[in-house]
Amino acid sequence: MNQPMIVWYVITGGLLSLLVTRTIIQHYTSRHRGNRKPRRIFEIGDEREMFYIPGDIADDDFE
Amino acid sequence: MERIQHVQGADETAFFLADYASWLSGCGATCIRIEKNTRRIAHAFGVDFDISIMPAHVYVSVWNNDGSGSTGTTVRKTANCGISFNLNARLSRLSWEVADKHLDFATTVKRFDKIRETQPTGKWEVLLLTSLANASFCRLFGGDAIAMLIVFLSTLAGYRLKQVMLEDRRDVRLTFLCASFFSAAISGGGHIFNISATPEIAVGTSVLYLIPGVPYINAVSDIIYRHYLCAFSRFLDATILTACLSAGLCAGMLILGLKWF
Repeated sequence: MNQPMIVWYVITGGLLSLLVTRTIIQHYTSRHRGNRKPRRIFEIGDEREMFYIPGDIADDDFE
Repeated sequence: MERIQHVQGADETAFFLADYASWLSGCGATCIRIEKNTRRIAHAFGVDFDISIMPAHVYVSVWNNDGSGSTGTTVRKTANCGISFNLNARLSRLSWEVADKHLDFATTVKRFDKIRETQPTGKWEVLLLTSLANASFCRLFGGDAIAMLIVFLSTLAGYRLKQVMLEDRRDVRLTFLCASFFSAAISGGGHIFNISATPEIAVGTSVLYLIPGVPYINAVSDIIYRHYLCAFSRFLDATILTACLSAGLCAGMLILGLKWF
């Protein structure tokens, strides 16, 4: 096993162990936060809600 | 656009509009969007209005031209709600509802309060979708299936680290540096184990999820509409984050002994 491989294993192993430990700790310490409605991932919106569209009402424009 | 009869004081209106603008600014809207939406609401409420948007604050002045001499000015710090297109869309929708459906002031405030309670998208959904998106980037740049898998896994690990560090309120620059370092190092596995035909694309695209695209785009929009202070602030913020992620990427490549060119 060459040096870059050892470094890679150490980095990946270190990060994985950190994330797994953190997840386990969170799992045992977190409380339930009541009945939250899950948010929808996809929604159909209106274009004008977010972007400027040329042709917006005239008195809404800026000089 | 028909004006609603003005029944609330200028102070109250200024207070609400400043709150509204600060939330819009906090969720990642451009200055022109903040101005247009806020002006739309003020016009619908039948008041005259002006707004000054600074990088960290908004100043709103409202006055009535009906001879009452009623005026109001409010300063609000930009809301710390994080970039959210969902919030941005809902706030913009509210401004159109006020203008089109002639909502009264109390209803508008009530709806605004409800919008403020909007929950962010679930962190696991974001984690998964970000990893898939970054793997798709790898494909766009010509990476093979194994490189895509490597990018997916390195993004999964790096983005999760980013979430954990931000939850712990670590400095955002340090967070970007660490996330890019680990993503780059993990994606370097393709080179080290010789398991992909395009390992360099995997390393290059493994940190793309950290590019602060929204501040860059907003900076350009702000320059176009001559909001130079906000534009400069956003651009500098984005540049610093980009420098941090570049440092992390270089450190990852350096520590694994990968050739830069």
